[in-house]
Amino acid sequence: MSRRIEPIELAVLAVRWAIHEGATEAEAFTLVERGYKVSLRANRISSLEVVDDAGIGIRVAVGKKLGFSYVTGLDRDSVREAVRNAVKQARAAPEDREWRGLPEPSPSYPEPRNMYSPALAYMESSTVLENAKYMLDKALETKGVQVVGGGTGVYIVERAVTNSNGVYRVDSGTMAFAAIDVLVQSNGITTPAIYELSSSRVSFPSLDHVVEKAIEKAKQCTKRAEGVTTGKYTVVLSPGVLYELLAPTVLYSLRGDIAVQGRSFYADKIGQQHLSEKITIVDDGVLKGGDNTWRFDGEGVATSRKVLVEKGVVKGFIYDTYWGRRAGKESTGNAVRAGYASKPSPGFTNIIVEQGDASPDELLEGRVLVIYQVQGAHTANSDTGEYSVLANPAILYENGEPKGWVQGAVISGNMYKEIMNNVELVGKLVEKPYPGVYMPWIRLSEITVATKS
Amino acid sequence: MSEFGDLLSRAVSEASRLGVDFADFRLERTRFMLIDRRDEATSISSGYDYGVAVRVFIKGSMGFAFTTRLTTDSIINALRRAYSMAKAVKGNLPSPVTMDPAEDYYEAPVKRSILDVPVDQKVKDLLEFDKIISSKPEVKSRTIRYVERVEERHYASTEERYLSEKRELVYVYASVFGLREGVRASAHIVKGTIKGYVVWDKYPLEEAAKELLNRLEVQLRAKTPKPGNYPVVLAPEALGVFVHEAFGHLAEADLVAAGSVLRDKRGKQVASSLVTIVDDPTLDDGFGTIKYDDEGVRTARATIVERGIHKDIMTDRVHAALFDVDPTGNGRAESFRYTPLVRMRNTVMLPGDYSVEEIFRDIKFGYYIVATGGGQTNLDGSFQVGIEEAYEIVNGEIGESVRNLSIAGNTLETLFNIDAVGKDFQLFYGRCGKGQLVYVSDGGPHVRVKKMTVGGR
Repeated sequence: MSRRIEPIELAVLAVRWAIHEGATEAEAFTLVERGYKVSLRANRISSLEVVDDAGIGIRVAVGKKLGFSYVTGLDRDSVREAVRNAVKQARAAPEDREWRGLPEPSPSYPEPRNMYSPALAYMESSTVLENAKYMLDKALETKGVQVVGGGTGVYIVERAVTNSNGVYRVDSGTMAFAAIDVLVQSNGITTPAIYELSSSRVSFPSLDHVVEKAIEKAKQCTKRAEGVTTGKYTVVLSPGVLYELLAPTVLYSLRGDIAVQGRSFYADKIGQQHLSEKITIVDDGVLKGGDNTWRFDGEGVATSRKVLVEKGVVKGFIYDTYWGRRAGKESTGNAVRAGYASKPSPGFTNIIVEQGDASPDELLEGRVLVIYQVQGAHTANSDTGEYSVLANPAILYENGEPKGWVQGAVISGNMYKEIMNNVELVGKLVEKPYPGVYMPWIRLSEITVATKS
Repeated sequence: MSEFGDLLSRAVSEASRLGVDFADFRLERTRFMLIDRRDEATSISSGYDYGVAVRVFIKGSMGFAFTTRLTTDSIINALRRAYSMAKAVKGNLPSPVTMDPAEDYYEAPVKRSILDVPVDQKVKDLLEFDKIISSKPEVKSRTIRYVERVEERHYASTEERYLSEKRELVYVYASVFGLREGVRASAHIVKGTIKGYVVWDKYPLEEAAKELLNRLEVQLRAKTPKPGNYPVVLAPEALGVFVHEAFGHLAEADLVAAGSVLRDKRGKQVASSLVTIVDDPTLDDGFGTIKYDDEGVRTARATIVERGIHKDIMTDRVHAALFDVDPTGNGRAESFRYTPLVRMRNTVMLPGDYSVEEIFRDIKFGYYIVATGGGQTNLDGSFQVGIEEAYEIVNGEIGESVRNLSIAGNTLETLFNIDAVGKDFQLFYGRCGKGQLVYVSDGGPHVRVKKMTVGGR
């Protein structure tokens, strides 16, 4: 077999070929992902998977006309064809008058820590399997528990990007995760399925913790709380729910492309206070051990830490090169790609809502609904901030004590307004409900809750 | 056999030689193009996605691997890796249901192949659509995406099933943001077809643009609803989302096995006797219209509910064995990178006897729900569907528009509360995520629900 060409070498060739085909600028991004994944489904190990994916995405400009093409595998002939396609498409595209070129190399690049661990890079598939089996067995030890889904996995990722302006970067990192989705059947009640995930760049996450947390929440739903009628309530949102409601609303509006398009709620509000002074939001591409920490973004620009909202004051947006230049700004190192099959566009790296000073006791004081999960957060309206979602589960707490599950509670409102006016407390404890998402618990007053009774 | 027949049959013999209980291979090639317009900026992307997936079943375990190289060596290498994964543990998966040998090549018919239409024409059509929607002063921003896919799937298994299927798929998404006198609003539409480049014949540009602009206008004028419990009329588009999201997922065999509320409900009444729900892979021009699924199973209609009684669940090979039922051909994967899961195809409620006027007639006050922003269910049978276009119903007439609401509740309770099912029928297009994204359709007639929780500000 012929020697397999290094991804970065192939990327360099792709850029050369594109220029040769008539492109005025070209960029190639390669991604190689290898690992093992074990899936759990319906109380069983449902699959043991080997992940071995590779591909290249090529972006070209012919003057101000743009094209992008990708292909799986890192095979010279098919990459050459993808390059031809990208140039051909660029020629067919209407001119983008706003195009101001691919990025230049950044003056310097960060050296963030805890992105790579040899222990994870060389982990055997049997370890990943044992971990999944351990989680499954541990969960099933508890009476009434059903393991709906989940699994474990370990990955090594290699990224490379090069362009005709001299960008030439290579990076690699590791990642492991453990997740479980459980429900409890008890006294004729089927609780909602509760999902917990833990991830790390440098070690296998604690399996006990993930399983225990999920079961503990599900168990709170085996008792029903009656008599919660439609009205306004003080609610405590879990870090996961806070993120899910912020993502389509506040975070959407902190994207530079959305601001340039005039769709952002904060488009003309830089320097003004439009969130509660208890809220500080940071995007940190260089966070130590962050799930989305890399030395450079999807187009080879240095990653960085940016305060987007400081004590409620809107400070700035995240940009890639294209949208940054349209706004008259530099890229913030936020060109994100979903993989080699997607063009870069502005996206968050590690997104953080900073911790507050409230203790768990303070958060739970009085009569509150604690919302662990919501259904339908993706149906929130990004342009208006309006949301109307099913809290599942919502647990009624009275003076710090859980009183049971409030079934079928719909919470609704407007995130842009409530994150400004209704924030009572932000918790001290920050959790990571999803990879790259760092959020505290939060207490909001006067939230509309509709129930069946 | 397809052009990959030799390659796949060599892989199959190697699998048999290794001594597996069952193994299968999926060789896939997808040509993909996206024309993306955000306000004045247009870009064109394309992709060529190919690879081979291997599954190996040994003694209650399933090993999976894939390769992005279409050579015998790479496929055999992936097979060996899947084999050693499966051998690593003695699992308790039931053996997948197996079938007779078969050989077929099926190409879904198209009216005008997307490969025969130059990209310039597709760009021109999209720009014309954009021109109509951008002419309205209240429209402040637009995002339009035209996606096309030519999908080729070649399947081979140790049962000596060699099946190939090819189809074309077009998906158009358009969203607008509007601002008028300080009121912000947005709206979107999705259109689709598997008949080639006929999307603008099926939905003429002007009509699709009008539908989108009307949806925005309705939002700009809307008031907020009163939260509470009301009679609700669901239009076909909203009903489709309800049938798919709130009910369909609960009838997927893996979720039934995991404890969904439909477990042990076979033969029992789970809905009003007016309700019949099917997942039908044979509907004309549906995103879920396929001859074979990604496990080489000939697809068949699953009658999930017939006149209120729960009959079939949707299965893949493993869950068909687990529940001792025939496989329905619901095993679908996003691509060769993934193992097939139990997924829906075209999930619809069948029409009934009521005229649309009759459905509204007796409602003093309620809500008419036309279009949604999607929804979500949980195994406990609770659901949420977010609403984009809705109106009040006052004394049997459609009244003022309302915004920011969702419907939620318990799915089975809601199905029992359906007391009128319309004669009309429409099919819609979308993508469903369950860890993997697959193209699906859903739909049905107008229906009336006696009582439903409406959440609003």
